[in-house]
Amino acid sequence: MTENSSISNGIPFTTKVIGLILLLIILFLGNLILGSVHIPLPETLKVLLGQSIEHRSWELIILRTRLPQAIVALSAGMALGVAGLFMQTLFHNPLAGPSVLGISSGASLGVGFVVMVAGQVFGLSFSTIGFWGDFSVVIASMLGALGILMLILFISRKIGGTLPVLIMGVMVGYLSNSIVGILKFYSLEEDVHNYVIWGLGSFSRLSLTSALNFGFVTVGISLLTIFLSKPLNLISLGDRYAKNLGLNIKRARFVIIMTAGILTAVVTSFCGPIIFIGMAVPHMAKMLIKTSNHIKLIIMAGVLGAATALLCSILARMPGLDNALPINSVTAFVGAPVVISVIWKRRKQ
Amino acid sequence: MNKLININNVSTGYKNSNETKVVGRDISTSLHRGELVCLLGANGAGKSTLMRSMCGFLPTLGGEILLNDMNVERLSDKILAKQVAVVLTDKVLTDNITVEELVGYGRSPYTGFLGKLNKEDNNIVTRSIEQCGILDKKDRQVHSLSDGERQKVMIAKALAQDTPIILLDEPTAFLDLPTRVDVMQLLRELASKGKSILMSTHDLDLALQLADKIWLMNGDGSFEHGTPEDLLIDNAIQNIFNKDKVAFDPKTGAFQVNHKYKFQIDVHGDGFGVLLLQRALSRKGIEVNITSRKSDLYIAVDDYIKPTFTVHFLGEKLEQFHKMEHLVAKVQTMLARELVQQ
Repeated sequence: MTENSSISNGIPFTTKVIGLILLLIILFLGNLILGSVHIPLPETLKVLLGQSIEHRSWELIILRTRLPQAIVALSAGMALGVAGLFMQTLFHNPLAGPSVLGISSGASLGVGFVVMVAGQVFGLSFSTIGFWGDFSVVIASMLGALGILMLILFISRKIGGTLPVLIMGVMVGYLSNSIVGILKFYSLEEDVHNYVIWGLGSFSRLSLTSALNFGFVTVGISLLTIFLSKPLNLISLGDRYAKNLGLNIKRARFVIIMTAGILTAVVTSFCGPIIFIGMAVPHMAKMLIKTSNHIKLIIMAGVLGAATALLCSILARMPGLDNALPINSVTAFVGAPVVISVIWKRRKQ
Repeated sequence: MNKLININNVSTGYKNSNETKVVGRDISTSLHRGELVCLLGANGAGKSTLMRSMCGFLPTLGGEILLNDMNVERLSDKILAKQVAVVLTDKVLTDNITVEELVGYGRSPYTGFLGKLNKEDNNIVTRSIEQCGILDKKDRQVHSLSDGERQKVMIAKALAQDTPIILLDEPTAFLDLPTRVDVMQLLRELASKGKSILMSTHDLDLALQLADKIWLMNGDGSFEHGTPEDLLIDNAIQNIFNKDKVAFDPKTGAFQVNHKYKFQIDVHGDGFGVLLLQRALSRKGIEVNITSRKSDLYIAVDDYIKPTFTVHFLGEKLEQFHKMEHLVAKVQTMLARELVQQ
C-alpha cells in the first residue's frame, strides 16, 4: 500500500507518529517536573544525564519516585493500548478491552488470596513486611492472571470461535469477583483496605531497576506484536474471509490471545488492574488514523497508550494535591468520555 | 474441457457430537474452467452448505470434493487460498478500510510476514479494481459505498487473490435489479476470460439467461445439473419451482405469478396496451379474453401513440379512459354489479 492511502486530514502517518512521540517526551518530562514539589526542567535534565545537582532531595525524588513511575506509566500504557486493540479486533467489538479475557479478574483473585487469606492464616499483614509482601503480591497476581489465561487458551483451542472465549472471560470475571467478595466478608478490615488499594491501580510500586526491567519486557513485547499485524488485518475482515485468505485462524487466534493476555497479566501484576486505557486508546488511534492496517494501528495504539498513561499519571498528582489520586479514578475520567463519544458517533451512523 | 472441481457422491451437512444433520445427498458434478455456474434452490435446500464444503469451511459427511484431483479437506488453508476465492454474505465489519486496502488483502496468500505489497501485487490490485469497474472509488471508504459497489469490491478482492475458482454466496441478494444485472454480467465476463465461477442465487431469470450450467438443489436433498435449456427440456426447473402460485411460462421463458380469476372480460385489440391491461386486471382477479366478439361488455384498446381504453356496454361506447387506474375501478364496479344482478 502506498503512503497515500493512509493520509487522513492531510497529515501523513509518519508525521503524526513523530508528533505523538514529541508529545510523549513532553509528557514524560512533565511527569518528572510536576508534582507536590516542582523541580525545574534544567535540573531535571541534569539528573537524567547523571550529573549531580545542588538539591540532593530533588535528585532523590526524581530517581526514586518520579522516574520509575514515568517509566512504568509509559510502558504499561503502551502494553494496554496494544492489548486493547488486539481484543477489539479479535472480538469485532468496540467495547472489548484487555479485561474481557478475565485476566485482571484472575490477577485480582490471586492478590485477594495473598492479601486477605494468607494474612490471617500466617498472622502477618502484608503492608508491614515490605519487599517480600510486594513480591508475593506480584507473584500471586501473575499466577492468577496466567492461570486464567491458560484456561481461556484451552477453551479457545477446544471449542474454537470467539464468542465462547468472550463469554468465558466475562463469567470468570463474575466468579472471581464473587470469591473475592467472600474473602472480603471474612477478612480483617486492614487487609480489605490493602486489597482495595491494590485494586485502585498504581504506577508507583516499582524501584528504578524494577521499572526498567518492567519497561524492557512490556515495551519489547509490544514492539514485537507488529509481527502479528497481518493475521490481525485478516481477522478484521471476519473469520471466514481470513481463513479463505490462507490464515490458520485457530493458531492466529491462539497467538493473539496469548500475546494480549501476557501483556495484560504483566501490567496487572505490577500496577494492579488499570482500567479504561485499553478500551479507549484503540478508539483514539482509529480516530487519528483512518486505516485498517494493523502495522499502523499497533504503532499508534502503543504510542497513544503510553501518552495517555503519562497524562493520567500527571493528572493524578496535580500540583496542590498532597497525595496522588488513585490512577484508576483518573483513567476513568479520561477514558470514559472517549468511549462514550465513540458509541455516540456509532449511534448516528 | 478442463475439470477443476470434481464432486463425487458428496453428502453435505452438519455434525456434532450427538447428531448428524444431512442437508444435501448424492451430489455428483464438476466445475470446468471458464464456466459460470449458478446454484439454484429454495431456502434451506443446502446451497450455502455445499459451497462451504467446497471451500473447506465445512467437512463433507461423505464422498469427496476434488480440486485438481486433490481432496479439498486435505489441503491446507495456505494452498486452498491460492485455488478458491470466496465472496460471502458476511458483511465486512472493519471500519476505516479503503477499497484499495481491502482488495489488497486479497494478495495475502502471496505476501510475506508483514503483508507488505510489492509492485507486482499493487499492479494486480489496481487491475482487479479496474476489471470490476470501480477504479474511481479506489480511495473511498468501503462503508461509504452502495451495496452493489461493495459487492464489486469483494469480487475485486477475489480477483486479486488470483485463483482459478471463485465461489460467491448469493452475491446479488439485496441489490436492485439493474445492479444485479450489472454484477451478473461482470461475473459472466470474468468467466469468459477463464475464471471458473460458482454462485448461489435466487435470481432464476438471470441465471437462466447468463449461466453456462445450473446446479439445482431440491428441498428433499436431491441434486440435478446441466445447461439451463436441458434442465428446462427435462422439466427439472419447472418441477422445483412450479407451485400453485408461480408457473413457468414457456412463451416468455420466465416465471409468472399464477392468478386466481373470479371474472372474465373481453378485450379488443393487441400490443403494449393490451399487455398492460392484462396485467392490471389480473391483479384484481379479472381474466382477459382477447377476442373480436361483440359481447355485452368489452374493452377496446386503441394503441395509437398512447394507449386509450374504451368501455363498450350493450353496444354503446360507455366511457373512454386514458388512465389505467380509473379504467380498472370502473370495470371492477361494473363486474361486481353484474354479479349482484345474477
